[in-house]
Amino acid sequence: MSLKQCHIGLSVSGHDPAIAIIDEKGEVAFAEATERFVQQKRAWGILPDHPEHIRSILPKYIDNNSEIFIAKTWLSSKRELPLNVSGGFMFEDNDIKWLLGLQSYSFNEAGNNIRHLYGDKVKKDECFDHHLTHAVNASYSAPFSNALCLVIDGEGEVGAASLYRLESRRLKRIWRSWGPGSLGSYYGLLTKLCGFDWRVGEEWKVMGLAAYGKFDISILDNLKKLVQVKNGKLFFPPSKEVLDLLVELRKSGREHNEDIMKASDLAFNGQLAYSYFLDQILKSIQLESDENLILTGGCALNSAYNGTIIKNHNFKNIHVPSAPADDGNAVGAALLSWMKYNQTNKIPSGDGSPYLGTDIRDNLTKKKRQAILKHHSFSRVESCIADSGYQVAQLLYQGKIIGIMRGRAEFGPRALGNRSILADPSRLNCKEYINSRVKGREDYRPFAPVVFEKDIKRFFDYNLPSPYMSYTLPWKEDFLKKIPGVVHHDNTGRLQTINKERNPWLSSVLNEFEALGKLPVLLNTSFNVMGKPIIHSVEDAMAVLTTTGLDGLLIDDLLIVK
Amino acid sequence: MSENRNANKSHKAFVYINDIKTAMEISMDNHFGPPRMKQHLLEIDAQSNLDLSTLILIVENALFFMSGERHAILKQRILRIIGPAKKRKWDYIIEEAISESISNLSATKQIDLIADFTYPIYRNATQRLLGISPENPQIFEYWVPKLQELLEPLLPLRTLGKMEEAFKSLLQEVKRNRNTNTDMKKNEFIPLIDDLIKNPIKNFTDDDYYAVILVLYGASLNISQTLGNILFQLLKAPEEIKKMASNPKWVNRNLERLIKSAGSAPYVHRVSSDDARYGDYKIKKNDNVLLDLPQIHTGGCPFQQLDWGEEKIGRNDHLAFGRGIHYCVGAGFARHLMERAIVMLFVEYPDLVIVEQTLDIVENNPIVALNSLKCKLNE
Amino acid sequence: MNNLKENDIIEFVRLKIVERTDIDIDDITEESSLEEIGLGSLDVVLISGEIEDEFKVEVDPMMMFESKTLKEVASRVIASK
Repeated sequence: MSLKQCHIGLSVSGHDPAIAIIDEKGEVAFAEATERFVQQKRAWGILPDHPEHIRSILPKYIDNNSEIFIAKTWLSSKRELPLNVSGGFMFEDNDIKWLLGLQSYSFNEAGNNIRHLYGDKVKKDECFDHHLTHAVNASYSAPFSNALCLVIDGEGEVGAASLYRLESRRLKRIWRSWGPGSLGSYYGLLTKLCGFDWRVGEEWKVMGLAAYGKFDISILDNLKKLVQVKNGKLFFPPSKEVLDLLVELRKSGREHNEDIMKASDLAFNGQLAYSYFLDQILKSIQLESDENLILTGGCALNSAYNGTIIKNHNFKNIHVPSAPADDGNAVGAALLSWMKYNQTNKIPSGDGSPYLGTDIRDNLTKKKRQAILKHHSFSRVESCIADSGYQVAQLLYQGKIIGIMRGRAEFGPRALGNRSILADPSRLNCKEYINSRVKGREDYRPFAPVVFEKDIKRFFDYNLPSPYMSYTLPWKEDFLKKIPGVVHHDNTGRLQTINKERNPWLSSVLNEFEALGKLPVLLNTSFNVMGKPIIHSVEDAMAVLTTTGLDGLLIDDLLIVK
Repeated sequence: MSENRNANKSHKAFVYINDIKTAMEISMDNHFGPPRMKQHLLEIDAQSNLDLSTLILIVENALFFMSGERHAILKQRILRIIGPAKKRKWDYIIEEAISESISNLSATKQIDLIADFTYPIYRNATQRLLGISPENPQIFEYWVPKLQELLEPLLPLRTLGKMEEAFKSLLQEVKRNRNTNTDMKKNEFIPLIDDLIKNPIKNFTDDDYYAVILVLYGASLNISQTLGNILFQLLKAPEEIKKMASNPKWVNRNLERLIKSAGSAPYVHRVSSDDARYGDYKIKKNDNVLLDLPQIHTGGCPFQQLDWGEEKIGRNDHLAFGRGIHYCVGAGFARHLMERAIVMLFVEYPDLVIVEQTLDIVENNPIVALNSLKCKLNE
Repeated sequence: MNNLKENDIIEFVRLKIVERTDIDIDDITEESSLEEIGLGSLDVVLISGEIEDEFKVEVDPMMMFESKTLKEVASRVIASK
């Protein structure tokens, strides 16, 4: 499977580094965030071509005849810019300095490890506009060829929002926002005010906590003043005003060591204000009804907001890619390199599969497999090539909590069945049990349901396919009591929808589970423990199995039960 | 001249840049920052028994040593008051200062264009612009030029100690005798110091503002010196060129060229934050990089015979005011002052000639300037 | 907008500067530089965005810093078209 042309995208933001490979046909051959390999959340300051990571990937794609093209996800090192277009008041000065330093380091140094390994096989080293790499990545997996494509993140080359039009798979920028106004920075600030740490991506915690809060007009009004949206573009008010607002907002906030629920109203209204800002942007950009929308950039991870778009706006279809944040840009940059080489501005069309990372079959060597079979001390270890779906469904039916590590790893932050922990959501207390005994995290954090695409309307109010868990939707009332494990405090669920074609194995589990007389809904949470990225190696998975309350584990076809 | 400087300070990494292309690039490259003078003084202050608090205050408020947000905000504020866009607010100050000096000239038979013309114009105009009126002008005037010496890297301790004392009293002088003109006429220019104190900047104290204006006043001495050098060149020029010096359009067209060839600042000092390679220059992290302006602009000597052939020079084609984020805040004011002073002088006295043959050049001072420029009216 | 004219851009930027400062429009000429006018970097950034929207171009952020005068900014904007 060696490639003649190997376009390697490197995500060089200084956080969330990732590597992607595009083959000569313009298809993604591989994509993976570096955090998985190094097992450090967001992999701050680590190069996307980490020397050991690339040695575990590239030899599969590169031989003596290969030509390598390196593509980076920024046009410039932001520290070099004399103009301050960075996060503004939302971050402390020393945070900004640190962020710029890491971006500059990654931007300047990334690629050297590939060059060290492959020398003059590297033919080119190119840099691409940050928001464009977001937009290209998202357009590649979009199931349509015409759309408005909105990029919203913490920061781009000159600002934190860009609007593109995708027409016959060709992108053209309509506008971009300049200056420090940024919804990514806003959410980072909200995270901090709620007593969480944006540095390790605890925005999730705010989103989860929001369900416990109540509407408070004075908090909301103050939050709304933090960002101004004019014609879709984002602005911050003068810093003096912001400082006054922060004094007020801190009163509803929480220190890191205080009771989490203290910040619930702030989280609720913070999410509400965020929705208000994004609604304004969407209203200003949609000129015609019946338009498709592609939403990407780090802010597209706000599944709670994404789920409200279908209700409040008039878009025909919505697409959020599996990796909308800066890891995904590696794919965008590599595609742009491929497009440049092939002299086309038409973005290739991908099949939408998020399973683009390391294949566990490459990691579970014969030797490791035999060692497990021979030396284990579990009650049951067996190879079940033919019926692993049935076996897992049986265990789930019995109330077991099973870790799954099959096929290729997902690209993006969500576990979508290949690096997941599955459970039966109908069991009382399963949420609390998994949170405390398996993942070691706060007991209010929600879990996601897996349902068949055909069943969306049965369970939810809106018919919105969600193959990458991009949307949170309200459950129909009938089911709230039946599957408590996947109903959040506000009666919503961040669903993953599957079908037989794209998810044959997970579909077989769900089918078998239903055949046992259960509702066809599974609890799916990422296979990791709190504070760590999703597992990467066989050893990572075994460590979680042996150090937590997890009941069993399926690695490829090797079923291990405690 | 540059060779001497070179030899003197070769004990630490000093790189002298002699070509304009590299010098321009370095000026625009933010890997090169101002010398870390504050740090340097703080270390001496801590390690010796010298109290350098005044010098540290001065350095903290000298734009050419500042960087980052504090630099940007101060610079922006100053430009909003004395920048070229506010020319219509302050240009009468210049007109009045020049007229006064010219009327004083007519009374003198023997004229020293430095002592009788360029210096008083600089002093009167800049003091009004900034809001300074010293009680002891003579002592004040003696010490102000020494401000320029602070630009010299690695001064001996003894000198620093002396300067500390001197600047303490200079600062007192500026404070005590601030021009608090209460019955200001409408439309009259509000001096920089009054504006700063009335509309304070976050994290700046009144002491900071006094240091700011003192530094600006000292730095502005370059106006007098550069104007003196320009007048020297015009007086030395062939008759047909000298004749043009009373023509406002000609002066306007040729101003940048005159400034380039006559600038009195000897170098721009930068410190490299990284290893770098510029053409033939190998620069190491923390190297002192000196842009040798006389070398860059005139091949080493601003007092040589100029080639007056056609040469079009724009505002960005020379480094007399620096370039990049440390571009001189007084450039607009200085330009206008020099332009008007040249024209008004030669309109009034088209027949000025230099009387002395030997040049009276400032020695032992990091400046390229004349002590005096004796002239007479050619009758 | 195919026939981008230097003067249109200069006029536009002059107006934008007046909106952000207390400077008379007559005191801002094509020879004025953004920096010398006393614009802060945030002003320059926001004006850059407005130039992009008005003239449907993409402005290189470095350019606003390197170009000293309004005239130079205008000619760089045209060149980037």
